[in-house]
Amino acid sequence: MFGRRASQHSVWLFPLNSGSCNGCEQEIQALHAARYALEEGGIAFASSPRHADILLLTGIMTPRSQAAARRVWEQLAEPRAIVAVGDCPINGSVFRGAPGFAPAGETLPIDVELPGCPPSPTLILEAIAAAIKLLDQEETGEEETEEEETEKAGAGDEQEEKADDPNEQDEQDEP
Amino acid sequence: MNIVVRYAITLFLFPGGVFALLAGWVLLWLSEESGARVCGTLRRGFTQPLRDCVKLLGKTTSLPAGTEAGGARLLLLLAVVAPLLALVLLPLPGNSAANTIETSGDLLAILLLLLLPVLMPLFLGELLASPYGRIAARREVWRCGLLIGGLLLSTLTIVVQRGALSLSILTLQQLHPSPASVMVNILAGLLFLLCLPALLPPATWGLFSGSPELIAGAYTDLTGAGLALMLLSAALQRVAAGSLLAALFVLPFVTNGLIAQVAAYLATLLFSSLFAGFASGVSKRYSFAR
Repeated sequence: MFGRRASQHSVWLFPLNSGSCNGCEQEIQALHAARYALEEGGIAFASSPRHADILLLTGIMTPRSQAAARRVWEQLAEPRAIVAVGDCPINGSVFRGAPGFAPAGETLPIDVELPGCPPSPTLILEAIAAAIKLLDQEETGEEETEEEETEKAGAGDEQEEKADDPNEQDEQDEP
Repeated sequence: MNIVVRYAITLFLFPGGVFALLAGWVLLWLSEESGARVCGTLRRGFTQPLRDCVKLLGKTTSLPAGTEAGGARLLLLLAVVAPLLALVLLPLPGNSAANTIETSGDLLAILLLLLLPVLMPLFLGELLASPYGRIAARREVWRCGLLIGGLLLSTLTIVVQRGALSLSILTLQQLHPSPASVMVNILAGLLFLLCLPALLPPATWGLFSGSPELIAGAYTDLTGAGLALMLLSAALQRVAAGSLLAALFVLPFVTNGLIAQVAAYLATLLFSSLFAGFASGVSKRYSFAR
């Protein structure tokens, strides 16, 4: 039981940029601010992918990034999860249709998709919380119930709606 | 009491095992807490070092391809076992097993056991087939060499002054010390304290400094249980190093009974850990010139 709670309260992140415009990176960097107090929740940024539990993937998956991204992903020790941050790794956003573009899901097994261009730090934290739940289920071998799946799908839809409306995102950011 | 029971208590309860782990956990957290307060940064929770360790033990452990796996695993285990053994051998208040040992050179054994976790990253850097480990090993050689030289010099001073290499003689209570003897002890103790950070494995791996930059270290390529053993080793070494300082330089001058000795021992542990934490982890806040 303590082990399970320990893994929920000790989460190390590793951000990986596979071809981003740096908009999502700026939002991720904002998580370092005292306002979000990641340290107090046991969340830290790891300096090596081998220490990390969650990979924060940003940007489109360019042909040159594919092999490197796969290598970085292989370095994460299990249980591990990937959060695709922003529209680019999900559907290419403004780069959709560009030569060589492929969704990140074709290269890496994305666990949590967070749409937005860019998503706000609060939404990134929510996506991290969803990934932590997945890590916990992976560790304990539990399967998600249908009710939880429905709830998650609903939350995903809400997130998409919020991502479409920048004013709502700002409102949610207020402490 | 049966000698086996005595050793079991010493190894698993006090001063090894349970006590060492609890004390290491508290000292590690206090060191981080005080460092964060001084630097004005956010603090981690009290249970965080324990949670990190438990989580890491539950993760998959792998070593980089091309690593001397047997040697690396042995070094990682030694890094945890060595400070525990050093604590068993140290004649601390309440350690009944250590008082039964009478060997002439056990101080050398203690020093070797305390230096093993310090030298381990240097060997591990070469064994791990990790470029980060090698870079860190080369960086650490000079720093460790200088500080370990200081530690050996202060210990040698006490050995010459008290005329023995045996801990049972070195830690005998100094009932009527001469002023010159007290002065030598204070100077040697201060030198030992100044060089104490050399006995503690590097605590700043970049993980807790909030820096997303890759910081080269022997730990960079470790995962799961390997990393957890390093965390444990850092906590235990903190207790063992403070205990040696107390046993050699403080406890021989505390002659007011067991309770006073225990209080002096715990105070020395706390002070040495905070000092070493400040010396190795706290940096001055940047101030803008206006």
